[in-house]
Parts: sequence; structure tokens; C-alpha cells
Amino acid sequence: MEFSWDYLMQGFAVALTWQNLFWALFGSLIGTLVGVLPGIGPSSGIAILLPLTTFLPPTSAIIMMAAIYYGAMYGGSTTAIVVNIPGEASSVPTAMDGYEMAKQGNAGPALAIAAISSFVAGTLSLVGLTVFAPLCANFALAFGPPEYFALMLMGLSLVISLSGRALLKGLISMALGLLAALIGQNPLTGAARLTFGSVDLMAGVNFISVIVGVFAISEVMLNIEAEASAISLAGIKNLMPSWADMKACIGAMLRSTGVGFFLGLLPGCAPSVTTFVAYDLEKRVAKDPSRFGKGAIEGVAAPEGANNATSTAGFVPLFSFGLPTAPSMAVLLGGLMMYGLQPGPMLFKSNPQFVWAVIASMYIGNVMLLVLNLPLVGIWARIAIIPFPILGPIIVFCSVLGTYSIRFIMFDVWVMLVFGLVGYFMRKLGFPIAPLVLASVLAQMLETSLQQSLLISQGSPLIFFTRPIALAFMVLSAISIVWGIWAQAKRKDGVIVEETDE
Amino acid sequence: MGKSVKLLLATVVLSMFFLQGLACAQEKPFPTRQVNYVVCFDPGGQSDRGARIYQPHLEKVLGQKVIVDYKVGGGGALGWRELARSKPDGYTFAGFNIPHIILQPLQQEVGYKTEQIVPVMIFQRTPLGLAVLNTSPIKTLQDFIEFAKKNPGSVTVGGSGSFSGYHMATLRLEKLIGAKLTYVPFTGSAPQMTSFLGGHVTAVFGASDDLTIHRDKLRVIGFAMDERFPGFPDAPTLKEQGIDMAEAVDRGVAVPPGTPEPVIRKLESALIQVAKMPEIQAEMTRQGFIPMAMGHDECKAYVQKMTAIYKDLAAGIKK
Amino acid sequence: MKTQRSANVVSGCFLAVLGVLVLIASSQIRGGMEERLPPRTLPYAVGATILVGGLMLAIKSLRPVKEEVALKWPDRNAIVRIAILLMMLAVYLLLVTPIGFATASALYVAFSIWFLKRSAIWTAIIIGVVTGVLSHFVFYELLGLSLPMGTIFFD
Repeated sequence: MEFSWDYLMQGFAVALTWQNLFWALFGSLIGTLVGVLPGIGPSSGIAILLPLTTFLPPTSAIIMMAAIYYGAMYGGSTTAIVVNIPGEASSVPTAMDGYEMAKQGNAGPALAIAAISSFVAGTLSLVGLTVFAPLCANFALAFGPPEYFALMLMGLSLVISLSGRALLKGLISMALGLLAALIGQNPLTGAARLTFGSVDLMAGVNFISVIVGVFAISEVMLNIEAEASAISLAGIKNLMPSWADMKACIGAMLRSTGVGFFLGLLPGCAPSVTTFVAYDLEKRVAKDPSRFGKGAIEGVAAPEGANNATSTAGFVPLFSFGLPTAPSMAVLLGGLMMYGLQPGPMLFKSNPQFVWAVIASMYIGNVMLLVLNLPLVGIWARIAIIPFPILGPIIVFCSVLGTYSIRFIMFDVWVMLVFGLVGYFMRKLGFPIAPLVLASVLAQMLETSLQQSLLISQGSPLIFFTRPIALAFMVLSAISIVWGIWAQAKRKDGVIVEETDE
Repeated sequence: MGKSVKLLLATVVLSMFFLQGLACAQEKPFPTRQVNYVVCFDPGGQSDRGARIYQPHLEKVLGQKVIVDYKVGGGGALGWRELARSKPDGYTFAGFNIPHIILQPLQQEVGYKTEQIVPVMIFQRTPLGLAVLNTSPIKTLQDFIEFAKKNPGSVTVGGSGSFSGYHMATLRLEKLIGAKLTYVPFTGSAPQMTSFLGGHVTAVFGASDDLTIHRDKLRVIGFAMDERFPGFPDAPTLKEQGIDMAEAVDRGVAVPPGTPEPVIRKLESALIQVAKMPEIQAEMTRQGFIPMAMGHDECKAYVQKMTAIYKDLAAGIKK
Repeated sequence: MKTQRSANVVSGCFLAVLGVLVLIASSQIRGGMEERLPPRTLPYAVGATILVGGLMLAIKSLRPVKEEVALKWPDRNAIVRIAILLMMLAVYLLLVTPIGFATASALYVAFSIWFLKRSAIWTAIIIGVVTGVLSHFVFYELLGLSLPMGTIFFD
């Protein structure tokens, strides 16, 4: 794939036809919608719309599907901020500070900064995709099993900073997340584990069910308990962020673009992972890390930037090798192949007008989404005022639809119900939830990459220390763990630290 | 029941009945209403694409709507278990894969038995080929064997899943060349090919469609087929190099046990009619598959034959 | 369970028991094919972490602290409300296969809105029916997608 202005301009010419503009807009709207609706994510959104491919021309269909994917990254923050229910797995960290901001009456600025950060990161990553795709593609290939294992280990070490002061409870929460992910078939060998002979359990616990359960269902339970008439009663103070807010977030936007983009080139690094990394990075570089979790606006900008950067970066390995980096990408790849378009190096040679039209449409789509989302801030912020007796049942309905339409088995919906209960008790008892979610996302890749690495090295763990990229990640995770424990120990001034911190 | 409960129940149920309850079955030859084609793998995956290529043509031939239905999980096992339990009336059929439906029940209790998946026809074959990167010093199968004999165990062969066709192929190859290989399983063909292209494994047993996608980056040193693969006319087979083995993933359509013979025959003839369409054959070939049209009786015999082969191999690894 | 401390002791003990169960269950996983990383390893590690973590939490919280933090538990009415709502959800899920996704959703949405706000019976009916009709049209008619149609309508 060589960059050339000619191709890009031709791409814009195709993307700017009325028909393609319409499908980009349609995709952006659907994406925003599946993003906003808790429980329904981009992968089920795209899968549900896959039948449209039977009558749309390929360029329009892929433009639409891509728009659903990055559009969902815009929409996912909405419910995370307004009602503390992440619309997507990729907006889990957004809720941590976003909801605090909403409680303080600042839902408007939080939503606006989420949209702006999404736009900045999305557009910068697009430039990266347009110009550097050939270089970036090779970056993905440098990652073999040992590198993935070290990266996953680093991801898991974020648990320490996600746990706040409740380190022990955070570790337990992480272990519970790993446990959930272990149930079912071993991803490599297919052998059943912890299924107690039940064939139903062999399907395993899908992490989307876990996330929807612990966030959406348990939030609904809490509101029923409180006999809430609306989820948030805080007024809406202002709608747009101040200049000071914007300035505070520029660094976060750029850093999260970098993190999201580079990690997003790697298969397996879905936005649900990179947002955590970006959030943690902001917390590390902040002058006053204690603001995080209490309504820091960078805590909203970082994950929202990262998920857009990641979703855009995912198109690099998709187009250049036909490798999907996330579940939504896998469905999109399926869509491409249904048209007989075979992604891979040949795609750029055989169908350049198609590839460049899709890339050009993504620039347009991002502008559309910004224009759609900024004026809507006021409307979204008012979701919280919808009477809970109406909002609650609709959230449950969306959650059921969303968890069912991932694998189309009722088992996943029951798992969601169980994790609703788990989430409810964890919140009541003061266990942090984020480590559980992160662990359930990372577990499978952690174990498979460890096993593959040990097979390749014939059992020697030295493989993680003799390859430069793996070594770098191992060192980073070691620093992260030691630093976290040290910071924890320092706080203990004779008295037991009361673990009430969420 | 309170008045309000009755009111709610009545209005909601009535309005939904109005929508849904209109369709009623009548006494006519099969099929009289829409049929469900169950896909046991992710939307957009190879099995789904196969189903969707067939769907519009099948609708025309059968004269009924064909709904593609997903039941994903357990590497296909979940969907096949559902199939084995479905009503045997022909209105529910599923895509099936060989060797999956043979190997899974051999490995453990999966809720269905191979005999419960009644094959109607097989429409495509995906042979496996042993490939190395085109930058690799290994040029031929002979190089590969020598290298493996000199470095026992350190030659890694990537594949998709354990107890899968890829795994069996590696084990058979190991036995036939008499050198120790290390099989590295991946969670699917996408991570398998990424790791291979990055040079993290020595070689792969790749499915012909994956090899077709990445053909300019790799060298196939032997296809596990009896004849040369049409998409790679220059690549030799393992057989012509003295290693007598064939290994492939076959995809087809199956019905639950107890389905009446006339219904099976009707489906079979419809599917074969679609399979023989030139545009279907061209599309399959272009994607890197071998189009097939193997009928009900032939399929049954084929499944039995393969079961015998895999039983021996599986007994070898399952200690 | 009234204070954070006593709740920690109880949940710690519960986790310890869970950890033991996980360890027992892990010991029953069949090892496969001379693997480098046996399939039991990670389950064992997870079980041990839960066991040790639970015990530590319980023991640490046995010591009295100066200021007890009170936990807020739902009162009897709230427990009944949550239980009924969860039951309704369970019934909804059980009904999806026999009566179809659209009808079950319509019933669930209507009944739970009505349950949460008795005065809003017509709102409940309207939103319920709209949910059902929308899912029917969007998923069956427009997209031809495979949500359960309801076996009692089609047999």
C-alpha cells in the first residue's frame, strides 16, 4: 500500500457521492445508537446489519459498517457518563470519571470533551492510517506469542492502579474475572474446564455478558432498591467545556491517540483493552493522580480518544493482511469477503478505489459524528432525567438483546443475569469492578500466549527476556507492580487502610 | 388476577398475536414455510460465508425463505448439539464440518454423537498445505525433513486449535517423516497466519483459502492432497514426494437424526442443484476452496471412513 | 454484615470457601497431551488467589477499627422489589424461546414499567407494544434475522 494524493482524492470523489454520503451518515447514526444503547455493541450492531449486504453495493456497505464501528466509539461514552452504565466494553474507564462529573452537574462538558477527544484521536489516527499504513503493518507482525504474553501481563498489572486504595479487593476482583473467563473450553485445546460435566457451560462465559451484567443489570438493581424516580438528580450546570478544560485535555488526547493507535495495530488489542491503558497512563503522568476517580476531565478524554484511535488503527492489519483485531473487525471482514473482496496485500492493488473510498469516508464520518454529537450533548445529558420506571426496563431489554445477539444463545443472557447479581454485591461490599472486567477481557490471550511461547521455546521462560519487545513490556509491568505496591505500603501509617475506596 | 394485569396482558398479547400469529402451516409437500440454516460459527466466518453464498439460490430452488440462524460456541459443538436435538422435519438444518464432528465427540462429551449429525451433502473442501515463508532457507520438503531431523522438537508448526484437522495433520506428518515436530496451536486461522507471517513459527499447516490470501509471502512445500491443488499448480503434493497423507476441512449441510428420507432427498437435490451452478463454483474457487457436490449416501460413507482413521490417531494422543 | 468490617469478614470467608471449591474443581481437570502449560495451572493459581485473598481480607478485618463504616443494605420492601424484578427478568428469559423474542419483550417491558410505576399503565402498554412491534419489524421483516420466533406459533 503506497500513499498517493491521487488515490486519496479519487477516494474522496467516491465517498462524496450522495449515495455513499447517505450510508456513511446512516452508519454513523446506527453506530451512535448502538453506542448509546447499553448492552448492544458494535459487533452485534454490524452482525445484525450484515444481511443488508445482499442489496447494497460493496463500497457503500463497507462504508456503513466501518461507520457503525467508529460511531459506536463516539456513542459509548454517553450512558457511561450520564447513568454510569458503559454503552460499550470500550467505555468502562470513561464511567469512572465521567459519571462523577455528571454527579457534579458537569455531564455536558464531559459529553462534549468525549466527542471532541474522539474526533481528534479519530482524525489523527486516520492520518496515521493514510500515510504510514505500510510501516504500521509490519509493526503488527513483530508481535509473536511472547510479546503478546508480556503485553497482557502489563495489562493485568493495571489492576493495581484501577483498584485505588482497595488493593486486596482489587486482586480478588481480578481473580474472579479470570475465573469467569476460565469456565468453558480451553481456547487452545478445546478441552472442557470447570464445567462440572455441563455441556451448556462448555460455551464459556462471554466477557460482553460479564460487562453488561456487572454494569447495566446491577445499576438497574441499585436504582430499584433506591426507588429512584430518575437515575441522576443532579442538575445540568453547563453544556460546553471551558477553555481551561480543553487545555487540560490536549495532552491526554494526544497521548491516548498514540497509545490507542499503536496498540490498536495488534490483533487482540481491542478498544476494550487500550482504553484502560490510556486511562492508566493519564493517571501516571498527572500532577495530582488523586483527582482521578473523582471527576477528572482527562479521565474522560483519554479513554474516549484511545477507543477511537484503536478502532481506526484496526483497519491497518485488516486491509493489509486481512487480520481482524477485534470482534467487530472480524464481522466486518466477513462482510468484505461476502462481496468477494479479499483483504490482504492484493486488495490495494486490485481494488484501490474501494479501499481509498472507505478511508476517505472515514474522514467524512468523523466530521459527521462530531457535528452530530456536539449539538446533541444537551439531549443526551437529559437521558438521566427520563423517569427510571421507563428507562430501567428499556435498559434491561437492550441488555438482553445485546448479549443474545453476540452468539445467539440464551446461555449468554443467563450469564448476564448472574453477573448482575455478582456486580450488585461487589458494589455493596466495596469491591472495585474494573479489575474484574479487565481480567475477563485479558484472560484468554494471557493463557494462550503463555502456552504458545513455552511451546516455541521448548519450555524455557527465558524467551520473555531475550526478545527486545517482550523484555520492554516485562520491565514495564515489573515497574508498574513494584511502584503500585510501594505506593500502597507508603500510605499505611500505622493504621489499617480502610478499604472503602471504590 | 387484578384488572390492570388482565388489561396489560390482553392488550400486549393481542397486538403481538396480530403481528405474528398470521402464519399457519398447511398440508403440502416439504417445504411449506421458511427453513432455518443454522451456522455454528461466528457471523462473517468461513461457514457463514458458505451459507450466505447458498442462501439466495437455495431460496429460489426450494421456493421458500431461507433464514440464516447462528448458534455459536464450543468450536461448533453447541450448534451441533442443538441440531441433534432439533425436530427432524427438515425445517432446521445446519452447516457441518469434517473433521470437527468426528474429532469433538472423540475428545470428550460434547452433547452430540457423530452419528447424530446426518450429512445431506458436502459442498466444499479446504485442503491443508504445509507452507514456509518465502524468505525461509527451507526450499523443499526435503530441506524441511532434514532440518527437523537435525533439530528435533525445535521445528514449530502452527495450526488452528488442538484436536483439530491441523493438529492431526502435524501428527501424521511427524509419524511419516520420523522426526519430532512441535505443534503450536492458535485460537483461529487469523492469529495463526499473523504469527506465521511474523516468523514466529517455522512452518504452518494452512487452509487453502488462507494460503491463497497470503500467496505472495509464502512457499507451499506440500499440499496434503491426492492431486495438486488447482489454485497452486506449481506446488507439489506431499503424496508425490513420498509422504502419503491427505488432510482437509470439508463443509456441508446436515439434518437431525430421524429426518424422513423424502425430506433428505428433497434437500439433497436442491443443494446439489445449487452446488452445480457455475457462478457458485467460480466463487468458491476464487476464494481458495474446492467446490464439491457430494450427495447423502456418499457423505455417509465418507464420514464412516474418516471416523475410522481419526479413531486410531486420537487414541494415540489421548493417554 | 452491618458494617464494612463485618461484611469484609463474611465476604472473606465466602471467598475462601469459593477458592477451595475452585481448587477442588481444578484438580479434576483432565490434563491433555503432555502440554507445556497444563490446563490445570491457571485454574489452580486463580483458586489459590481467591482462597488466600479471602482469608487475608477476613483476618485483616477481624481487628477492630476506630471508626466503623456502616453499609447500606436494602430494607425489606426494597428486597421484595428487587426480587420481583429479577423474577420478572427470569420469566422473560424463559418465555423468549416458547413465545418468541418480540412478544416476550413486549410483555416484559410493559409489566416492569407498570410494576415500577402503577399509575403509568397506558404508558406501560404503549412502550411495551412499541418495543415488541419494533423488534418484530426490524429483526424479522427488515433484516430476516434469527431471533427466536416462538415455537408455539409455528408448530
